[in-house]
Amino acid sequence: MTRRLEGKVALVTGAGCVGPGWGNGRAIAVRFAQEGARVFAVDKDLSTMAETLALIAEAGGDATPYQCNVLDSKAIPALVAACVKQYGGIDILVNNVGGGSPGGPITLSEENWDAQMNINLKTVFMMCKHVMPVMLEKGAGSIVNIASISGIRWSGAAQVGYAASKAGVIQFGRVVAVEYASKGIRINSVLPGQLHTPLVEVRVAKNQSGGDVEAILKRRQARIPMPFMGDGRDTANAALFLASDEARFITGTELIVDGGMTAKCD
Amino acid sequence: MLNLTGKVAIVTGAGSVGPGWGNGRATAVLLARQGASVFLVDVVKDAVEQTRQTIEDEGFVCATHLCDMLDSAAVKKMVQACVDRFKRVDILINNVGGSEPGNPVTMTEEAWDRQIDFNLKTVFLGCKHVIPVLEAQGKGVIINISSVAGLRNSKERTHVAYSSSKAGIIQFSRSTAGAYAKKGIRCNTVVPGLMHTPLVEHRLTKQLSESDAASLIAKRNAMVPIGRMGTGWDIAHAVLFLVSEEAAFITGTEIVVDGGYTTFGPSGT
Repeated sequence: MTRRLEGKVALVTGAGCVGPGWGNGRAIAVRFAQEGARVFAVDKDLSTMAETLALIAEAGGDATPYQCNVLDSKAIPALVAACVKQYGGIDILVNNVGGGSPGGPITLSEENWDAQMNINLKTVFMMCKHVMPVMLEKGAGSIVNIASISGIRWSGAAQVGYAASKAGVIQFGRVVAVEYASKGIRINSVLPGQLHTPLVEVRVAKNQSGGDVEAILKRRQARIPMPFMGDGRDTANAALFLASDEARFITGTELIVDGGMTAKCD
Repeated sequence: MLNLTGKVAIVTGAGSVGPGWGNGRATAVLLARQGASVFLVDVVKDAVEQTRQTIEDEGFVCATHLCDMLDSAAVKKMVQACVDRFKRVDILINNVGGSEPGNPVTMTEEAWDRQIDFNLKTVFLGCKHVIPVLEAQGKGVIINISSVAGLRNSKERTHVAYSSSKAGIIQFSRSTAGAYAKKGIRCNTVVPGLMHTPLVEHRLTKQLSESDAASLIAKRNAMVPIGRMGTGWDIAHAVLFLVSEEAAFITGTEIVVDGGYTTFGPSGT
């Protein structure tokens, strides 16, 4: 098999990482570059991208870092134009920006609810709004949205804004997929389960167990049928398959990467 | 990482009813191209011989075995024959199946039993006899081939037993995945939509009383949002991804390969 994304241009948002190790965005950027894609790697904080870029360089890959907060709608046209200018087009878009905020309907503030909708769902909408016209010109494109199993199940702690917005990402992908199927654009979601990414150390432990990382890892592992926790590389491999031409007949659907967690209910 | 060198794969229904690429044949050939030794199982000698010929012509490794997947003793022998020939089993692809029309009133009890056996019990028997080998090795992966008929009604016709048995495969896989997750065995389902495989020309045209295959093909292409049916290769690539190490954290789930068909509401065109 030749490299699976040879000749493709991939725009990946959230391509940095909050700490050392394999976050979803970093793993996606590196894995895609390994498979021959030219990666336009976007993050709001370029300092989080150093390791991503070093790993891509090590693999002999081609990547261009670009600083942009995709919550800033006005900045997105310039971001898309910069990618097209740099690489001549966009074949693949991976929407990987997002994050959780704890709380149910009573405890989650209205401001945090709005912020959750914006970071998890509106970023997907705005990126599609500006990237899909580029794909339409070519009559081809593949979009992969990183949702979460929190969009289809209770995941062990209240985070209603996260759950509702990730469910929105899934259905957003399905309906846009049908609308654009005949125009050559595919769109699918990857639903990561409870992975061990750097986010666990940096954010989840703080939100859910008072900073006790071991406690949160143990609790998360107990929910997973498989005897280990995946990391960003598992998300990346799933996104790679969906983005590649191997998945040319796959659109409007989801790929769950959770070690069997959503197949059980206790 | 889609490299399967050193792996041994059993593919059931590895033949095709006619020339061309059925799901089983395309899957068997792709796994062989990725380095697996493929044990080709079918009930029809000529069908499986063509698959063997293709793989050997390309310089890859396989062996054939005739087996009725509904005969438990024969399935057990088949698995032993694979172990005798290739020393192990890493991958099982349960790909036997087919549909018969009918709703609960029009379908005979015999046809119902036949359908459940053909589509669902073959998966059960394949797993029953292969899983002990995988368990002894501490690792293995199973892919069952279902159908979008297990998720949605078809406007072409009702086939209640086919729909029930294909839905059964999905939950069978989830259940088996849960039972064996701790033992290193993954189990997932590939759910094909409308496919342009040799079955269309050889079986469906007759069953749906279409005047010719071409008009059936055009009609079916138009039913898919992407504008065309899939091929055996689309199924083969989904299977390859799921059996590979790239899917190491994926179990108890499905990949729907349908060009958006199941996402389409009933509004039609």
